Amino acid sequence: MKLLGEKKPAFPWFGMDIGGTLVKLVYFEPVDITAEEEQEEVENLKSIRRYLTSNVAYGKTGVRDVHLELRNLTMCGRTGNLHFIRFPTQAMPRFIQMGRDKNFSSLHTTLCATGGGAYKFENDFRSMADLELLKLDELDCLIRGLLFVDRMGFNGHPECYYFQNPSDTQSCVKKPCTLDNPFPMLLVNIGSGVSILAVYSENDYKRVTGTSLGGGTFLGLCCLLTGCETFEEALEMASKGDSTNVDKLVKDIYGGDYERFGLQGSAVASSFGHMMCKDKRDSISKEDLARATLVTITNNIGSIARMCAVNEKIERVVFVGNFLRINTVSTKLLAYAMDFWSKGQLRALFLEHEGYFGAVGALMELLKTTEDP
Amino acid sequence: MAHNGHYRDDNCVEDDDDKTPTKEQQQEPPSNTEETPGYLGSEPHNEAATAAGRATSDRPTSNSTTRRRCDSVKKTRPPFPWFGMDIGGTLVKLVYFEPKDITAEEEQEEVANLKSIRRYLTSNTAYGETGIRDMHLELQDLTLCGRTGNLHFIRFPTHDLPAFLQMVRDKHFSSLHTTLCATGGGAYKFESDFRTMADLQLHKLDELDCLIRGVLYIDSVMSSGPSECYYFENPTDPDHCVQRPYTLENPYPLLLVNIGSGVSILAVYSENNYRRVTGTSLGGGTFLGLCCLLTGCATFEEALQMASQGESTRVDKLVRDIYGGDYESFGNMMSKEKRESVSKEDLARATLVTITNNIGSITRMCALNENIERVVFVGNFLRVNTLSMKLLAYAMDYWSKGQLKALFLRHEGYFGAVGALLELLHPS
Repeated sequence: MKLLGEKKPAFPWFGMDIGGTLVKLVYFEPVDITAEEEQEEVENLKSIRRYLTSNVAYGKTGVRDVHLELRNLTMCGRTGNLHFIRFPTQAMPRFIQMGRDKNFSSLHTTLCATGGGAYKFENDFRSMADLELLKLDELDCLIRGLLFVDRMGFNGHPECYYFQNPSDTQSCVKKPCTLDNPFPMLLVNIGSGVSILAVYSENDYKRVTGTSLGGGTFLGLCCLLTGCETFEEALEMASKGDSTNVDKLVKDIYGGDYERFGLQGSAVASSFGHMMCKDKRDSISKEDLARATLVTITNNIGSIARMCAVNEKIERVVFVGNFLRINTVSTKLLAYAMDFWSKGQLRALFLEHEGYFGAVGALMELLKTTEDP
Repeated sequence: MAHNGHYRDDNCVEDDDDKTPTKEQQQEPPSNTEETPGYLGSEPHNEAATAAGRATSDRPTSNSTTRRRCDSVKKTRPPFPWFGMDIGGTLVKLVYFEPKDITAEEEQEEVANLKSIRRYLTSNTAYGETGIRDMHLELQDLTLCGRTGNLHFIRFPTHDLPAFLQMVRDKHFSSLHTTLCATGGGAYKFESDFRTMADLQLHKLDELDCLIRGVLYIDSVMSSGPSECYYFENPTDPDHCVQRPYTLENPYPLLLVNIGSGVSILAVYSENNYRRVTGTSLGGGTFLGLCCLLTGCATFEEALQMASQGESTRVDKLVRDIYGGDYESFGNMMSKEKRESVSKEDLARATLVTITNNIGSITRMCALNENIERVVFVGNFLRVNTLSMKLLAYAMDYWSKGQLKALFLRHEGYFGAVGALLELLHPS
């Protein structure tokens, strides 16, 4: 579906990524509106703009990540702020309802959407809100969005960062970097599930593999094991727990290191391996379980990512996705794992806008813009 | 060693002929290279070897002053009883060779406790509360080191090792002056317990060396029973999925995936040339541990039973459920209503499927990376676990578009113990 010639698309400008757990929405708020334009602005468009920009919470579960706002961006010849909003996919019906109540369809704007939900909810958008979604591939959008944001920078600061001395808790420090000459890179997208892509250029990439043990597994298992209800709760618990009470370590089996194959005693031999023993089950806490779940999922992803990096002969591994949102435990663990198991050959990189790249990519498709000078 | 699957006589002399001289010469002293550097402190094999009177100087080996074997020309076997032990993270695997060719004279001379051990092991199929002899795996009329007998396969939880040691002490095992070859992490962890509680010196061996040695040996043994190696035909079709025998002739290269408490993946290029490619900590121990937590079950058998009755799709977010986004495990469990609607059986099933598929996925990546088409799965996670085997068979076949073949072995988790026994009889 092609957009007409030189014409810019009509406001509002949204990009949407409907994932398995979260819906990510990016909204471009123009700040260069002339008096004339303001006069002509239809009521519901103004109302949408005001609603989105004067709130940081929407309904019970919608959140605007104010700290991620990109200010004074120029896109498609307009200057404005880019806002990053998220809400649980479960709340989608209410969102569509709101779209109907605000008469969104009368604005005749295209709603570019990516992620699995773009397919799953397509009919609902049409029947409930009279809206036609322009469905886009999530991996195309991911890469496009990522490269764009990295190029734009984060309000004058770098978007990308890594950890120096990841193996040393005392001196482990976050350091900025840029993705200059980003290719080739291994892109690990940790959302509900995990996708691993080898990216050779903006338009040349392949999905290497994936794993079903992702953020959704972490949260689902945590809810089952600890009774927690939200991602934030799960992380809170995990930050206080000790997974070594839950996991069977190499030293629990060997009495020390398994030197022959370079396995330290502190390495996990069997995740949750102690839990087959009743005494151990009775002695651990919910926090320990949450921690073990986090560590298990994270290490598994790290291990698989590393194998892919070796297979594809790529040294740079970029981790994105909302599993890493406010999740320093996992971020540092991944940094450590990449560094340690590769003996310093691999470097783990992270991006501040974590899980929003798909939505940004969808917005860009709407604008069909590359970089503005 | 066998090259064509018709190997029956594990006679020491023949064995020497088969071994390449370089292998003999480069291992000086031989057993040390098999142990991890950190554990060179003890030299149990010296004492044990002298006591056992083992002499293999008819081998074309090079000399060394630190040789542990004595100089007798006559070939001597180690004294009975012959055991191989693998002390893993969850289970202890024991193989025991029961001689059937005992002459009247020999029987006369047999010491009481040796006879008692033999009778105890062979006339029971359960030992104490948790020990089990897998009778269906018994290999009969085997010839090992010139003796004919039956090979028995026994297991008990590592948790019960103290009870085992107590029994060993009570039966005065140490007075038999036999070497106890043991592998697995527990051979290191419990070494001092063996010494203090049962006055036994373990001859420690590397678990992966033993695993490979055991696999190659057992597969080569000709038996009247079913083929050791098999695969699944039509793994994707439950109505037509059937087990078929497979011979591992020219087995190299092969990818060996050992699924115990944790998982090790080895690329094997020849009998003595292999590499541990990677591993994962999400193994059998994870399945059992998670199941115990989620369902309240207490044993592996219970967990499998539940899994066989469950439906994992209620627990996982299916591809259909999201659209075509990634299928993720346990994803539905974030929703409270969904949590309340799934059964213990569903949870057990989801856990099994998740762990199994993860192993399958990692295995496939390794096979691709190493350019190996044949994957052999072993380890006690697969014991009585047809569900996982079929899943693995399916995954290998489907995701590789038929390029990869998943193979399985009947003696699943016992190969390390067999390898340890072989080391007792044919020190490398």
